[in-house]
Amino acid sequence: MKKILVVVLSLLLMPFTLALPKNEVLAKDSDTLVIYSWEDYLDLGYEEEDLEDLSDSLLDRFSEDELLMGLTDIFEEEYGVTVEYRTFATNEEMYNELINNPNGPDLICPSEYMIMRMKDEGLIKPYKTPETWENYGSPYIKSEFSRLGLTSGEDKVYATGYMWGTMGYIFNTANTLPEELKNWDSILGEKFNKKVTIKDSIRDTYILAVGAVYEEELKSLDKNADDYSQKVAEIFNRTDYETLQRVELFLKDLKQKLYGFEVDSGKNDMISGKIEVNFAWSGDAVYTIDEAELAGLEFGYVVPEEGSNVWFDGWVMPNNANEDLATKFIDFVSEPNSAIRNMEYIGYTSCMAQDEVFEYVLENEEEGEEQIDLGYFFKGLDYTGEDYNVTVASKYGRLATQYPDYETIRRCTVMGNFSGDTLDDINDMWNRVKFITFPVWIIWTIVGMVAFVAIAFAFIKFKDRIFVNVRNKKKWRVVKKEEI
Amino acid sequence: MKGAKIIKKEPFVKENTGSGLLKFKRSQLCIPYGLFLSVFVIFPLLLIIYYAFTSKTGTFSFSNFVAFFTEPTNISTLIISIFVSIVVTLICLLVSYPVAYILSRLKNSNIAFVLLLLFILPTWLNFVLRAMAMKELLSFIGIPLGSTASIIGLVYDFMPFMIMPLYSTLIKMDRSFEEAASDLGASKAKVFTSVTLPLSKPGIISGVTMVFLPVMSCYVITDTFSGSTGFSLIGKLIAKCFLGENGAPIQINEGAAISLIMLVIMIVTMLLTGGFKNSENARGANL
Repeated sequence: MKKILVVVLSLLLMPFTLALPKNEVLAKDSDTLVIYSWEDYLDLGYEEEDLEDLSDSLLDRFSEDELLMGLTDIFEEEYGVTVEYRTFATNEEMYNELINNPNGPDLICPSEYMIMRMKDEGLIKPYKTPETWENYGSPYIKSEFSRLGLTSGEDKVYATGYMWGTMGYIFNTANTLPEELKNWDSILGEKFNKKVTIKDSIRDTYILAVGAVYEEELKSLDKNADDYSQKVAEIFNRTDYETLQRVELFLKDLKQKLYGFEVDSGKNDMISGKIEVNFAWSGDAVYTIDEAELAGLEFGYVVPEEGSNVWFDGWVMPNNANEDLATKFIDFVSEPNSAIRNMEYIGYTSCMAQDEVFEYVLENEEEGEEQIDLGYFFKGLDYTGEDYNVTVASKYGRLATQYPDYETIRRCTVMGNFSGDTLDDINDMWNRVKFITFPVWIIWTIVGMVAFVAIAFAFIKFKDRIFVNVRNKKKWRVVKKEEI
Repeated sequence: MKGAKIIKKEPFVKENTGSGLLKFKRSQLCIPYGLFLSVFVIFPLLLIIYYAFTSKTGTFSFSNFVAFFTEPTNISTLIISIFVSIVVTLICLLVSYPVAYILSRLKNSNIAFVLLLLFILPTWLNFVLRAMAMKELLSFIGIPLGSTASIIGLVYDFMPFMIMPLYSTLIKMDRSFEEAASDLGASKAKVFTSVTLPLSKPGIISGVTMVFLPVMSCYVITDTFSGSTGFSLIGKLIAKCFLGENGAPIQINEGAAISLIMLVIMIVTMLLTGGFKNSENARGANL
């Protein structure tokens, strides 16, 4: 009885435990800014012992005290508010959390496709374009934003850019020439057998596969034609049945020749020499190149000839965000000083294009013969001058990875958001690649055999009960005393 | 060891006779755990059932189960998981039984203790760390990542869970039965097959249960050891449904349905192995 009571009591308590987080009315505190972003995606301050290892770019610009403080601390001090920095591991995790608790964050930093999805589903609101973004955001990134419909009217935007980059292959220059990786499907070669990792993430790997599947078509495009970019965008965004079939076949073939799928172990596996090629985001590539240098290795990063994905993460505001404070924060992290600190801290490339940022790029200029043209980023796609040409040691080196050359960017595109049935189809295709799938007849055979064995087993075990009166009549019985 | 020691059964602790502070009845002492159980076990179970039988929009439906059983990928993964579990369990049993047998028969109990400690020691470290270390070791030896490496990893990881119940059954076994069998002229092999083995059945069953069921969902090991290029276990499917990944949707309802299917498989396995029977012999071996 008591047990039942306990169970009933606790069952009664349950609705409260369940309801607590949901019904809790978060009275929006105007002095608190809740930021929801990726882990390690903002300079949160250095430890004292790290200071001496920092680059000159940082040490010349900032005092030691400033470097010990994170950007959020500086913002708190400047505006007299509290900043709460929450993190997520995947866009989807953030999305689910936001749906369950729409009152939470004021500022979120999702990837481009998630921004588009959230905008389509009405989860985020347009906000007045922050001044720094309006005036100093990279013209190239801004034009991509408006092409993707992330602006609203004259003076409002759904998102402002934070970090951006491309996708490509990291390789060890001692063992591999960039020419050996000039196509997406070069990793199928004998040389890289079981020496390659790709991303355990459907969107990123899809780009690789589409690039490989439509290699000929992408290469045959006329690069000087006016509609070149549109054509590249169209090909990389194909999701029709035939494309999915070809992508599936390609990935299944590729899977046999991989070292593995990963999302973050690739960097270390490259440095320890377990793998020769790592399919990676350019930001991670910069980080890996730096780490490799410390280990005495020279790594490079190449974007294959067919073209690649340009990704970006941007600041968005959920519907009941504290717009005032959030805008102040966007302006704050978009300042050149914050942008440089963040770039140094996480290795990714800021979407901001102030003169100070270009100075920072020049500080990192490498000795060498090659030139990369960054005019498109700092002045716009139609800029033809040479003021933004930067010298690099190699077009596959660190600086060219962080700031891709115009030649590279021309063949890249932003992959859109997949939704509805398309997303389900792609997800099913991805599952078929990742998990072994037997043909249906094999499944039926196995199920049939198991069922047969089970029935046979049950039959043997319980035959006594089934045929209780026929065969197993009791051959003996207890004899009562009186009968004797 | 102490030869033919007769194991006396400890009498059960009687209901508290009410001395001083501890005037709690046994049922009252259950309340904290009862609460814990209901909040962290029963309630989540109810949630799983709720999600499994609802669609994304929250209406009642069987669509998650239909989706699971009509997608060859899912069924294949289930079949592979069960098959892998069987293989791993068999290997574990074949390797562990002799180990546990030898350990329980060692005359020097100090050596037995040290050896046993060596087998248990790794379990004090989290299995993810152990898996990563083992992966490095394998690549050092030259075994490439893949399905074979995954099996080795799984066996390595679950071996202690097989040894422990076997050992505790074998050490508690009344040796006088074996001696009696020998006295009556049974050969050593005969003693083993008709006395020792049947008497250690509870340990075997409990070991098999402790290995077979968790292996099916232990996807972290296969991920680590094969880089997801070999076979994948059903646990991976569940994890993917709940955690999502960049670009792939989170499917809580589908994940709940697969979890429920796993739960049914587990209950069936427990029923088949008699895991629910509170058998006297198995006490302590069920851990």
